[in-house]
Amino acid sequence: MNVRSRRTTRSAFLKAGAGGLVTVTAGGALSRTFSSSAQASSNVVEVPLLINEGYVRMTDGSQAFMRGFGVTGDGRPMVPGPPIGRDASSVPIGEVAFVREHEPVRLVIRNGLKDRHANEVHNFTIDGAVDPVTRELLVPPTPIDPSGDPTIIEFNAPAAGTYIYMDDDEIQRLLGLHGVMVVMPADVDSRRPYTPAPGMLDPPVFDEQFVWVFHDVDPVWGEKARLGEFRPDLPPPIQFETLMPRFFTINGDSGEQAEESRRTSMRRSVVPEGVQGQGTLIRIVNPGACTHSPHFHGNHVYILTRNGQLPNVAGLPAISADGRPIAVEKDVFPMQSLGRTDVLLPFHEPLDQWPPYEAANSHDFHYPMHCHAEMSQTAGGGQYPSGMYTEWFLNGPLGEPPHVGG
Amino acid sequence: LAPSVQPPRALGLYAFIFGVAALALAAGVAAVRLAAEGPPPPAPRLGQAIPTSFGVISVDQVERLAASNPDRRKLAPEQSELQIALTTINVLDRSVPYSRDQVSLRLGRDGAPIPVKSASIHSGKLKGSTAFRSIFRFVVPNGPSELWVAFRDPSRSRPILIELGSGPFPVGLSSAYNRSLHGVGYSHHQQGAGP
Repeated sequence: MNVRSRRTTRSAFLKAGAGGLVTVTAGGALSRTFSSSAQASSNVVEVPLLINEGYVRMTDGSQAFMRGFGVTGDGRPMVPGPPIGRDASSVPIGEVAFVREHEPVRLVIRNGLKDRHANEVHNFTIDGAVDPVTRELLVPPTPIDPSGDPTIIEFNAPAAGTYIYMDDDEIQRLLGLHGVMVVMPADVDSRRPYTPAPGMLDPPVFDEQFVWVFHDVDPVWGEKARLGEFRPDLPPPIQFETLMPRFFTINGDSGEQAEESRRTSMRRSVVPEGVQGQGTLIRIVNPGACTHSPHFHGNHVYILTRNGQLPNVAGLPAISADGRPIAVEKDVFPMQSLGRTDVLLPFHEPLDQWPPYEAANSHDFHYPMHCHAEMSQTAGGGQYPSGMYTEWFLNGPLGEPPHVGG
Repeated sequence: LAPSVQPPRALGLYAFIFGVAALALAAGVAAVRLAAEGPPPPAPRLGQAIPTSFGVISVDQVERLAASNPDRRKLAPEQSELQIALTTINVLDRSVPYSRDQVSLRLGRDGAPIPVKSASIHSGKLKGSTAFRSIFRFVVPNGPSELWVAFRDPSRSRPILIELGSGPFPVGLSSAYNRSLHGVGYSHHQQGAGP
């Protein structure tokens, strides 16, 4: 892959985003509006979301019935849902759709299940996104009109960071009703994950960024959701205690044994690839129910934030009493349910490997990233390795290690 | 006078007329039903979720075993082995029995059943609110044949038929680790040592 051309493309994308493109305006009758302190502006980032359901093909060829906030090109639910951001359909590799701090955002959400599940009420919220002054949720659980008419939610983007939008009902979230909102600093020239602030680590500069959405799929739950409305005599209601996921995904895909089209999809949205010193920001979120443990081979990563806050080292804040930052360098770390962790993959020279690294003979390096929770490395109840697994590519030749992270 | 007796020829004529009328009536009923209900739904296919009395099943994968598979030495030259993967989902809150005898293969929709040669299961009970995937192998003739899987739902009188088509089917797709998917034979057990 040509790194230069990718960066050129990404630059054009960022330039367009910084220019403040006006998105389409809402059409049709609007049945209800929930509004926080969104500013009146023609420069609103508008994102349509559609609650829908259907079968999604899993990595072993079986079908899991799921729900999503978007629809794929072949009419299946999109899990995770569309990103909240500008130009989401044209994001180049190594970039993510995002909004900027304080930018006005308008979500137009429709319930596409009105004919099948007339009495279902879905409550939409964005976990962790708070008003900078009141510290209250910017979008508290807000009912979506069950009639199918659009519900409008407007707000100004919160502090730069990574957030999970979702159905407030845990079971609905696990059926697939979730997605991600990335907020970049208001400074349009910034390539930092958040705005410098007291009590936070100095945010590093990154070159590329990815979002990894971890999820756990239980097809039995999906079937119960599908059948429940038509055969109330058949399935018992979904109880959280019955959750037994059979598939573990990153951005909706399972690794290793995924067929070629899925591997292509993963290469685009999941797999970091670059040259030495290309600091890559990975925003990891876990809207699933299980605790996962991403483990990077090849490099340790630097944990920048956990749930939008300063990370800890052995239970202590990563800034010492005299104000010095402490690097939180990890090869594996926990991702609890609804956890959000931003890490920097430094793309440095591989250390402690066998055979030893030799600059003169350096070549392309190819490393796995997998979850250390063993059950997540399988699909369909035991097919290995077809679970929460991906790779990253460090392209050679390698030279003297550059300074990473600004 | 001797009693009048219908000659056998006349009886045959009446029977013929009655038969034709009955057939016409049956055809009419079938036509009315077809017009009212529409054509029968297409048979379920590979990778399709199929409702059952306890939840759903799906045949997710079909393949011919590779010629290099040691099991082939036990087969006649004109035979090969076909393998399918079946996912069973029980949405009930109670167990349901399963058995390898529930599954068979057919050459043609109405063909004679080909029994399972080997499978990853014998019999047991699938707990409520769980799913599992099982593997079945059948000995089939080489060459193209229209293949169907028959699944016997314990609460139905007739088996569920799943159309596999006539191939060609992929060879060796579900081996535990398929190097061909990677092109270069990559395995993270062989590369990627480090911290």
